[in-house]
This record gives sequence, C-alpha cells and structure tokens, in this order.
Amino acid sequence: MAAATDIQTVNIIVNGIELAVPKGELVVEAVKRLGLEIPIFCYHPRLKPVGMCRMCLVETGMKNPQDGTIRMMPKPAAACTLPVSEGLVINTESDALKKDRKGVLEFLLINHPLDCPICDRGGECPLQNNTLFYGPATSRFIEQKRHNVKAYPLSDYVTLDLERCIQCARCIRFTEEISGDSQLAFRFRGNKTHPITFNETKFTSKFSGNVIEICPVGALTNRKYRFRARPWDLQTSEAVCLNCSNGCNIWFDHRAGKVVRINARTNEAINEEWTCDKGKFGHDYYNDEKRLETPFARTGDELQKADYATVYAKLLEAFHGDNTGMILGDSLSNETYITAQNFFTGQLGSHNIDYRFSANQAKGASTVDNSIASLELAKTTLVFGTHLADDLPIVFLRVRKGWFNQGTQVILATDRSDEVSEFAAHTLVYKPGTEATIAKAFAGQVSVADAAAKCGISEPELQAAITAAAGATVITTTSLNHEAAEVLKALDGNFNAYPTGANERGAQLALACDGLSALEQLKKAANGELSALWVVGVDLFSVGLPREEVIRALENVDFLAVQDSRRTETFYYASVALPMTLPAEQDGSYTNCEGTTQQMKAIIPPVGQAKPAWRVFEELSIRVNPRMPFSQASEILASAPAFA
Amino acid sequence: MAEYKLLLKHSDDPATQTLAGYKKAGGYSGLAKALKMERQAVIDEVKTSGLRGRGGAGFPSWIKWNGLPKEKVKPHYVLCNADEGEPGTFKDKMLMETAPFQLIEGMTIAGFAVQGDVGYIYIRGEFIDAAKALRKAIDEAYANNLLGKNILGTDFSYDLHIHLGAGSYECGEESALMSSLMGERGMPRLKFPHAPLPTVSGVWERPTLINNVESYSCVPHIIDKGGEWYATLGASTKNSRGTKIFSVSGHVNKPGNYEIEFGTPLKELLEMAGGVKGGKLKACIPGGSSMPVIKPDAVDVAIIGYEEMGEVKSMVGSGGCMFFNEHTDIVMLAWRTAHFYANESCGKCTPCREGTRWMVQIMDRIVAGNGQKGDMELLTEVANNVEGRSFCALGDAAAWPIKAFIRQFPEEFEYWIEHGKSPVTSKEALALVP
Amino acid sequence: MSELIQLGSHNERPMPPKADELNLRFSEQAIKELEGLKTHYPNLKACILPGLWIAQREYGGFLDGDAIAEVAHRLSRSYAEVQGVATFYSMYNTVHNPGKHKIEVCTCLSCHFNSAYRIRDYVSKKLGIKNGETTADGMFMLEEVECLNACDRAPVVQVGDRYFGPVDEKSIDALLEELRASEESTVVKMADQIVQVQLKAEERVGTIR
Repeated sequence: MAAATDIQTVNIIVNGIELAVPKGELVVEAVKRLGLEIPIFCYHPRLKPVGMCRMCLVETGMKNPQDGTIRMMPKPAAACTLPVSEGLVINTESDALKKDRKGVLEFLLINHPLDCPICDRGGECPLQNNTLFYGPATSRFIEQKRHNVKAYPLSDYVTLDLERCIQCARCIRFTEEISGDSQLAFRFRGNKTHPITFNETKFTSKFSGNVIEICPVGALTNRKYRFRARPWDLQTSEAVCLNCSNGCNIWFDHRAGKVVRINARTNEAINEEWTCDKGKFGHDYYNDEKRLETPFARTGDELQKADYATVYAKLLEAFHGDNTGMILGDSLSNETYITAQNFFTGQLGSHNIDYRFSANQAKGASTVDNSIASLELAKTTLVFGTHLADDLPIVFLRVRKGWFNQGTQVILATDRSDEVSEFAAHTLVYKPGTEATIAKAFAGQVSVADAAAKCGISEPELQAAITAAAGATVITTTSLNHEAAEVLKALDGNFNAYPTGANERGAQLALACDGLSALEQLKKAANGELSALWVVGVDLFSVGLPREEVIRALENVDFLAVQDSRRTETFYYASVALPMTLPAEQDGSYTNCEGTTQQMKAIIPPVGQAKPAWRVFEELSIRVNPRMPFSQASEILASAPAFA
Repeated sequence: MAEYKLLLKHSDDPATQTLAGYKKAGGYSGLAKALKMERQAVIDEVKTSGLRGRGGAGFPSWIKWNGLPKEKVKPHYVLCNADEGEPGTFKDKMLMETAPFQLIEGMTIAGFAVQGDVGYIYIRGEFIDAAKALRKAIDEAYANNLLGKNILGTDFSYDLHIHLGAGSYECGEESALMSSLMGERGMPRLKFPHAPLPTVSGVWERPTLINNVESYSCVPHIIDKGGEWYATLGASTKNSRGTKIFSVSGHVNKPGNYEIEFGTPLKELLEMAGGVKGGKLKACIPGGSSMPVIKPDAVDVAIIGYEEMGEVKSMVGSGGCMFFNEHTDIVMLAWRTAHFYANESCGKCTPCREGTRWMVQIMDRIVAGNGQKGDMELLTEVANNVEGRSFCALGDAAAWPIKAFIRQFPEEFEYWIEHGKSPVTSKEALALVP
Repeated sequence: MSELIQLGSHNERPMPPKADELNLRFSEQAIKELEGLKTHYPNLKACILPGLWIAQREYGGFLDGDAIAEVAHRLSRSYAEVQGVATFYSMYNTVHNPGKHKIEVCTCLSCHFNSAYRIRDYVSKKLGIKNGETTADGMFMLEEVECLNACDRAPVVQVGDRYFGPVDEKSIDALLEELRASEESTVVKMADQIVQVQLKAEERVGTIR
C-alpha cells in the first residue's frame, strides 16, 4: 500500500498514548482514532470549523523534542479548530475539563427553554445527550430567560424556534458553504444574535431540509413532521430516494406502516449526508388518497373493481405481436424492466417496449464518464443545457463543492441563469433552441461570431468561455438536444449525459429498445395503428407532451392497460388496471445516474392488493409458457447480464 | 518625573497638521531616512527600540514586522487599528486629530519595511473628526508624492486608505477588525495555532501587519533618532521602552492625555492630572475598563511598565486610566462595566454571549435591591467560566474587572446584597443609579 | 428580546425579492462613490460596510429592507448576509427610522461617574421619549451608547459628526434648540461625511465639511 506512506504524519500524545496521525488533521478528528469522542455542537465535519460553541475544549501542551518534557498551556483550546502538529499533547479528560464542559453547558442551558417534552428533537438531540453526559444536574440560573419567537414558519418545510437556538451557525454555514444560497445569516449581536432569513422572507433554498438535520437542538424542525411522532416510536429503515436519478441514500422513518419522515443516510460516494428538498419532503405519494388498491376492469363506460384472474385473462387476450406496445415509466425497478422485456418481447412477441418520450433521449448520447464523487475533482466543468439544482441536485452539490474546495472552474451554458451561475466563472445564457449551435461553437465547428449572433450572446463572452472550457468535463442530461450531445461528446474532456429519471439508467441497461419508442408508440396509437397499449408506472399526462395528443392516443387505442400505484389521469382511460407497489413496499434495485445499482428492501406492507410489477409479469409469463418463475427480486437481477 | 512629550510634542500646534508645518517640525525625516536603508535594517531598528504594541497586549512590535514573508508572492497589507473603544481611552483619537502625518509617516515606513502594497486605517465610525484630519493629511501626502506611486522617487509604491467602522467595540480585537475590514460581521477569527499568523495569512488570506495608532506613531521617531536612543526612554523598567500616552479621566481635576516615560510612578500621573477631585482616592482602573481595578495603596507604589504593573495585579493595557473618588459606588462601577461587555459581546462564542448577559442580570438584580446571599460567589463563578474559555480576549476582558471588583471591594457588594442599597450615601453616588 | 416578535408570525412568509423587483434608489453620486470605493479593496464583499454607509445617506438615515437589498444587489452578495452585517454594527440604523437627529448619550464608565444618566434622563424627559425611541415628529432619537472615547470631556454626547462635552442641562437645552432649527439631518450628514472621508481626493463627489 504505497498510498498510506504518502501521507505525512506527526506524532502526538493523547491522554498519555502516543500515536501518529496525518499532519494538519483536527484534534477533534484525530482523537477518534483512539475511539475517543469529544463533545461538540458547532463542529461539523463537512463545514469549516469555527470554534464557536466551546464545547470541545481540551487541554493542550507541547512535548520538548530535546528533553522530552511536556509543557501544558494555561488555557484550554478548542479541539475542533486545532490542527495537530509534531509533539502536540492532548488531554481530553480531566477534572478541569469536566468543569469547563459543565460551564459551557450551563451557559447553553440558561437561555434554553427546556421544552424537551414538546420538542420534536427530544430523544435524538445532541444538546440533551451532551447534557446527560457532561452537563450540570441543576441550574443556578434564577433570572429571566431570553425570550424570542417560537414555531416560526420559515418555509413550508422548516419551522424556526429561536428560543431553542444555541447560535452554533451550522445552518448558516450550510447555506454559505454547501448549498451556496446564503439565505440564512446571523442578525444582531451579543445575546441577541440569531439566525434568520433576510427580512424574515421565505427560506427558499432547494436544500433547506438539511439544516433541520444538522441543527444540534430543536431550533429548526421539520414542519411536515412536526408533532407527528416521537423519535423512539419510529421504525427506521435503509432506503434509496427515487425522486430523481441521483439515488440519495436515506433513512425511511415509518410508523404503523406509514412513512413519517425522510432523513439523509450517509453515502460518501453519492449524497455524502445531504438530501434535496424534493427528496426529503417529497414522499407524500406513499400516503396518497388516490392509491390504487385493487385491479379494475372496464364494463361499458365504467371501471369496476375486478380480480387479478379476470384482468390477466383480458391482458393475455389483448397483447400479441408488434401491433401492441408497452410504455414504462423511468422510475421502476430494474427487476420490472428485466421481467417486462422478457415477458413482452420473449412471450408476447412485441418489440415495442420503451420508456423514452423525447426524440433527444432516443437519439442522444447516453455516455457517463464520471462518477458523482469524481466530479468534485474536475479542474474545469462545463455545465450544458441543464439546471443542475433542479435536474440533478446532488450532482449540483458536488460541482459546487469542487468549486468551493478545490477551485474548479465552472462554465455554465443554459437558457436562463440559475444557481450554478452564482459561482460559475462564465455564464452563457443562450436563446432556447440554439443548443446545437453553441455546442458546435465549443467544438470549433462554427465561428464564434456566428454562434454568438445566433444564440444571443456577446462574442467576447462566448470566446472567453470557449477558451476556458478547453478539456472541460461536460455535464448535461439525456434530454439535451441530440445534435448538441454528439458534438460535446466528441470534445477532448470527459462527457456525462446523466439520465434524470429515477431509474432511467436501469431502463437504458435492461431494455433492448429495438422497437418503437414511447413517443412513437403514442403517435401510432393516436393514428389508430396500435391495437393495445400497456402503460406501466407513468402518467402520460405528466411527461410533457401536449394534452390533446395524449388524449388522442388514449382514445384511439382499442385496449389500454394501466399498471400504476395510484389512480392517475391515464387510469381513467384504462380498459384494465392493476395496482402496483411503490419502492418501499417491495424488494428491488435501482441504478442511479452514475450507474451505481442500489438495493431496496420492502419496508412497509403493500397497499391493498398491490403487487410489484415484476411479479405481475412473472405470473402472466407462466400462464403463456409454464416454467419455474422467479420468486424473489434478487434472482431476477442475477439473471440479467447487463447488471452483472 | 514629568511628562515626556514625544508623540504629543506638537499636539497643541495646529500648524503641524499641514504637511509644511509637520515637515518644519522635523516630520518626514524618518521616512526619508528609512527609504535609504535596507528593509531589514528598518525592522532591526524597531527591534533595537524595544517597542511593544500600544493597543493593550504589549506584544513586541518587531516580531510582527519580521514575520511577513521576505520573498513576496502575494500582496502585503498594513493595517492600523484605530478602532479605539476601550472605555477610558482616548489617546488614538487625539493622535489622529492632532498628529495625522505622524501616523501616516509611521505607516509608510512600516509599509516600506514589510513590502506593503496597501495600508488601511480602520477607524471606528464615531471618530469622524479624526478621520477628517487624516483624510486631509492623506490627500496632501498623495499630492506631494509621499503616498502613491514611487514615493519620493524610489521604487516603493504604497496606497493608504481610510476605512470606517460602524459601531462595535469588538472590532478593536485585531482579528475581528480584519473580519470587519473584509465586510463581515465584526467577529474574531481563528488565531495561531488554530490558524496561521496574520503576518502569514491575514486579511484576504494575505500577509498582514497590524499595529495600533500609537505604535505606528512611534516609528518615525525610532527611525529618525535611532532605536538605541528610543530604548533609553523607560530604561529603568524591566522590559518597557519609550513613552506611553495615558488617557486620564474620571474624578480628576485635569482629565486629558499625558505622555510619560515608562518607569514613571502611577501616582505622578495622577498628580499631572491635577489630583483627585471631590474627595479622597478610592479606586483606579489603570489601563482601560478591561484591566483589574486597584486600590489607593497599590496606586502609591505602582510603577508604569508592562511587567511592573503586574506586581499590583493589573496591567498597562491601552492606557485608559480612570481614577475614582471616595464617593464612588464600586458596585455601580461593576454594574456599568458588566453592561458594557454584554452590549459589546459579538455573540460568537457561548461563554461570552451567555456569561456576559448572566453577569448583567445578576448585577441588575443586586442594584435593584434584590441581591441574594451567594451572588458574589456566583458572579465570580460565572466570570471564571467565561475567562479562558471564550473565543477571543473580550471574554477575559469581561471577566477580569468583575472578579477584581469583588476581590478588592467585597464589603461593598455585601452591603448592597444585605441592605439593597448603596453603602455610599453621598448625593453624587445616589445619582448614579439609573 | 428580538425585534422579530413585533413582526408576528404568519404561516406564509413573503418571498425574497428577485433582482428585477428591486426598487433601486442610489443616486448617480452614490453609484460613482461606490465605484470609487470598489477600487480600494480586492473584492466586493469588503465594500459592504462603506456601501451601507452610502445607503444610510441615500435612504434618509434608515437602512430598511429595500436599502439592505440594494446594497446586496450592487455588491452581488446575499440579502441575508448584508442584513447580518448591518445589524451587527450599532451605528447602522436597522431597527427603526431614527428621525432627523440622533442624540447619543455616552453612559459608560467615566461619563457614568460624571452624571451621564442624569443627562440621559433629562433628554428623555424633555423630549418625552425613552432610550431607543424617536419623537413623534421624527425630529429626535435618544440613544444610550457605549464609550465614545472622549472621557476627558465626560459626560459626552454625540450628535451626528459632532461631539459635545462636558454637557449639562443648560448646554443640552441650547443643543436641542440649535438642532431643532437646523435644516439638515445630522444622521444623514454623518453618513455622508463617513463616505466622503473614505474617498480619495479624485474619487470624491461630495465635500468634507
């Protein structure tokens, strides 16, 4: 292991034990190597240390290299800001430190409301925990506590309680250093200091939920979770967020079979310990009133409850050969895609099984050269034709981290300025529809002057951006104009056309896509040229196509099968419908935008008679061609070479 | 000993506030001399002089000067701390108002010695008169090639800007001053060994020299007359050289700034200020409100010097010397001091933010007549928990005086707590309670 | 106690203003001055304090949300950050409009022991306002301040760019009369002078008075 010896180490003494640790490591981290924990509040490993709360005080000294004597410093020092150096001596336990910690906790508690019984943080609160281990048992404070606003709604998601706040600035530092929107700041000074938005306006950060989790007290709480449960009443399970293609790891907290809240679960390779608000607060669909609970079949004008056998019979009657088609959503499990392909093409003989609604998706390059984590190491990054904070929130955080920590030069080319322009060295806002031209300008295929004129950008700005972008790592999405994508892919640097659908990557891998695309199927259906259409896990009215076209397709197809978790608008056009489980209700695997396949286990029971889509395909498949079916999801994945 | 006017020599002559007048009085000969010297020789001269920081800490100035990289790769900045805010101190104000060129010359010499590119004088916002005087002088210096490009025909170029604060005592702390200069809240920054020294990575993460107004004002004299000559002043003390301006106020007949040689007895300073008015001496805060209070017997023996003042358990500090007469209610003094630090705490660290307020609340209760047995011990305990635990020295500054007041005058606290009223019954004392 | 309480709590917070929704009020002079100040520092962030001084003059002595937003916008900083900076410093008027003249009475140590509270109470009674309040006609604000560092002249009062001391009831009377008669707001004048002294001769648009 050559790498290990490359790290420069220094020798330090912690509580009398000598050890070598990487030079410059913070004391608070270094002592963890001995299994020691120093109490903290303001320190957070992913934020710059500030040394504000003074909870982490330790005794320090220096060992004289000549005679080996140790000279201790008169004052304790903050372990969260002190980097280790050769000969540093640290004591983390002593009577004096016990007194220091007690003193700091006493200070933190004198103005804290101690309303733990009605605080959402109670039971999982660092302030409670540190008080239990290090705090005073009683209070000497008999004066009036500081009063401030309570239950103040900063946004639809975040509630602020300033009486509980201990002014650690974690939330402020998060918005400055990580999400970059700087929407929170300290206001006033001294004992009036408190974090708040500008003029108490709405906290609109797209990553606001993270401040709730990093708050070491109950000052920032989850407005959607407020008073809904005590933490010790919750069951928590490992899960993956499937609200976009980043595949953030999450804790799925549930109670009596219902999801109650989502928290981030650390995965250094993907989301570190962050989530976006769409993921953290966007899991209401589990508890949707419109969940589809039983199969349905149409009798005349009416959709009526039916049993699986009836619907299966109708399906097998309607679907045969290339005159029929299947459209799949882009957030289904890999197992669904694999079994659907096997069943629909292998058993029913139709090649029209697809997930792509745009021509760009169908024709464009789907190359991904970079893992999410490696993006922060890029020297130059060209973000092209995407609004990262919306389309790929966690990729956005990585790109920003690269800029913040390593000084990545970021160039943005897009149709309106967005969060990336806040830190981009060059921002090019082009006229919508001119993506191909501007891409060609980057490739030197059209003159800068012509491209600038056509795209509505000043020539010097475009020239400067093109010069800066030499060898850049390109980040875009699969929905980028396919001509532009081909041009950018041919450039010198890495190229990444990340899929944006939650498991679009899995669909790319599992489906052959050798028949009609989803878009083409709909066009054909609209012309009455498709006898049967099967729609799985997607509402055709929410894929960005004109409504009339969708209605025409649905009305002109003879037989429409809908398999979904809820009664979507498409459902009401169905000939037959099948209830489908959601990811947390079934075992399954999902492949995120960078190509990492992650497993989900069934966490909560399915709603009604809902079944995993792959089980439906297997049950139908053995009706056509009897064989030993797959009985669990893991067998399916193992059978597919694309996921080996 | 009497006053020794070096920095304040021409303070009563408005003519020296013009360039011509300043030059006539011998000004700018220091800079002319420095520009002919090696940079290191200028620093060595400061070393020889034994100059120590006049802002309060008394750190040897030359170590800072010598700490900036000799191989320059980034711009170097020279900052002047003119955020004089320590209660009882008003010397920097006077130096800027009456001898602006002296400061500018000192900062220019410093800029030359440390290869500075830009200097900033950070003046507290309230000192508009001082800023006006400096602006006039800086404009004149620019017009006469004493600032700007190629000063006096050499290849040394140096810009000097004035930056005004906006009301914060904390910004007098050097790292908080840098935060403020960079457009942040005036909160202190991490210091060595938690972060590099400012001389290596200071303002805008570039090498930075920061000194007090009085320190820079000494420099022209040190260069002009030589460090050795300067070191003869105050030679009777252990390690304090030169002169020091003391701002004397409180119950004295002639409050004002008095420049004395180190080694002068404190009681002579009191005599210079016309002695105590309105009664006998009761207490003295010798170096600004952060410094521990001393009693008359200590005033009688105290010698002014950085080490010497330690012998009476106090410090030179910034030189804000306040004398109080026998009608002074010490508890009210402690009460007002506690309020000052609570109002000026920046709020960054827990002990100072919470502790200063707690001390105020206890003091408020005592002076409202609701003191309780054990309050003195609690106050001392709270002060102990602030002292040494806070992020910057403001915490210590808030704790020291409270502890000293209780240590030196326990009987007055006891009286207040027991009787709910002041032990001092004179009309003046009663008027103090707001 | 926080000023927030006065604003009450509503279920829906208003949205922060977008750049094109701002009502920019800086005069040409102010814009020129800000451009001059930008050359003094290596980045725009350092212009926040001087920028706020300009705004305090341009907005008539009071840094309301619009003023804060304008400074933030002109310096490409976040609104919250600039408001955080402005509210840290006691000389920026961020809580309420101070009115025309701000009477700042130093009550710190030396002044305290030279009857500063008597002076404060005198002003308070005479103007009928408490510490931190502004008279109904918007003429005077009374504020108790920490050490003004003119302890030799204790008790000291600062009004705008002038120090007065030692003051007594008689001189306070005369001062208030003089201020009442003056056309110019000393609050605005102070902000203006602070801007002017920071500008080099060739950058200066106004005058130092």
